[in-house]
Amino acid sequence: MIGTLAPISTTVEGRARLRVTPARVLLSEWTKFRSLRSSLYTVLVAVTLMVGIGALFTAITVNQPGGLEPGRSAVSTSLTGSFFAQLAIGVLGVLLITGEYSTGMIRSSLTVVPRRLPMLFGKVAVFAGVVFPTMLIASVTAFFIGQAILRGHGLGASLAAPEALPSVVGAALYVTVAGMISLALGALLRNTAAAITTFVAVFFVIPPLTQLLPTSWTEHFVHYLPSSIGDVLTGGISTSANALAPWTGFAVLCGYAAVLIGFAAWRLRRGDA
Amino acid sequence: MVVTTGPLPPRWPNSGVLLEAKAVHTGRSARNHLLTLAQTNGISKRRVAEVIDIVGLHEVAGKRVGGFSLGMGQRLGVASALLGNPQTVVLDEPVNGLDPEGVRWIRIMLKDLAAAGHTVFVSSHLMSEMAQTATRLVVIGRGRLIADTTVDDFVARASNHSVTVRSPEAARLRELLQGPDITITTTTRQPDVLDVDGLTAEHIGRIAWQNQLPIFELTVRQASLEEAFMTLTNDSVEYRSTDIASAEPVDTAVKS
Repeated sequence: MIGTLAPISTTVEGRARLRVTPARVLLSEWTKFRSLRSSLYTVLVAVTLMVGIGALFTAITVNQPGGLEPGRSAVSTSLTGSFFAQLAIGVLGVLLITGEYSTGMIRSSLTVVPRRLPMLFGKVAVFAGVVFPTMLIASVTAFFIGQAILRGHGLGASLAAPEALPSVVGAALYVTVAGMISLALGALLRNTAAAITTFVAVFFVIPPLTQLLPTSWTEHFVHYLPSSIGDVLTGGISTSANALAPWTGFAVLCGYAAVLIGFAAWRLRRGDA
Repeated sequence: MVVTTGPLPPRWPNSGVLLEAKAVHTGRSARNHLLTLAQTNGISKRRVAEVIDIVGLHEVAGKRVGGFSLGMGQRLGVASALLGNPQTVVLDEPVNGLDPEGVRWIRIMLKDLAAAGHTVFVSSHLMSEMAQTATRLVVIGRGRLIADTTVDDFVARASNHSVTVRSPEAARLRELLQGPDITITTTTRQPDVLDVDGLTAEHIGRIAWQNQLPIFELTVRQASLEEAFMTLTNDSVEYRSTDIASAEPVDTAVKS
């Protein structure tokens, strides 16, 4: 097999057709995404966490003597899994881009897309396009399973309840944008360990640490933390007077993602790959 | 840098490049890797299958690149350079790390590409390999163009066309051959061998015959491409290995 040489073809793909277009880069990024096993596994883990942890947490809290935790509604309790799903999706976002840097694939990627930025934007688009629908299905599933468990204790809410649908959609949106932030961190830091550490620090380590500080300090900024925005978006009843309204919070979260993607684009454009 | 040229049809305006065969995500299959590159430029799946056949990776195209040998990785790199069926194919050190069969494969492929009308640019430090493959040679040393010519011409330029003579009567022959503009060298290790510069083999043979001196060997010395290269780049070597008498020049110490 190896060593035999097939006749070299002289058929020519039309010259005009050999051109980089945004749609073609998008298709290429989709192929990149689906052709790595790690993408599929990480998405599956995220779905499992969203649905599984949601059901588990709901079942445990509802059987406690005090019922639901303070600050938690029937809706937000069933969506607790989004807190864990964002970890898996965050890792996915980081790996999508740092995997290219660690293997050297980035040099091939940028050779075929010399203008560079379409590659980054294509990645972000494919990522959001896969993660949001998947997470939406997962959060809807988690909602129904959670409410079924709660209904046994007379606490269940229906999807028709005013805060239900926005929270279910909000959970999927929150996880997606958190993942986009992690993708931007990966593109900015170009190193898997550094990007994942930063992501975990911002989303998981800093929030509990703020509780150690006096409230008079933290009340000015704690509601701007991505995780606080996530709490509100997934239907939590905020105890803070300064808490952002869900969609204001979502806009702030999107702002974080946009700024970080902007920095990543700037670094991609300016520096060596 | 060595260039192989063929007739140039006025099509394929683009170029395909292999700079680094390792620039591949190890978790992806060869076919999917090529497909991701192809899709950015609207190149069809059919062409991906074609280049896989050209480089002979058909049976492993579905396997993950992480498990590929150096030679298979190099073939994958060549395949990616051929995707757009470019007029000019640029390959950086394509035979590095290949086994003898792989080296032979690259050599045949480069010639086939040239025969099919592609211009093939190959940069290499392997002189013997280039002597067999290239038709045109561009030698660059320290950023300066040292030569832009054919392989034969390049070698001829560097050769001094000296003649090696082996005779049991070397000392007598030496006296007979001496003259202005003629250099005769001999080594103490082989006192019966003369290296004559400035006379043709015919001339030396006739003198020996006229004086009835026996001759066991009469060879016109032609420099190899490597020797020619060393001679002509002598002044433009960036990292010179310290001179060790009669040591073979080390290829990797030469930056050209």
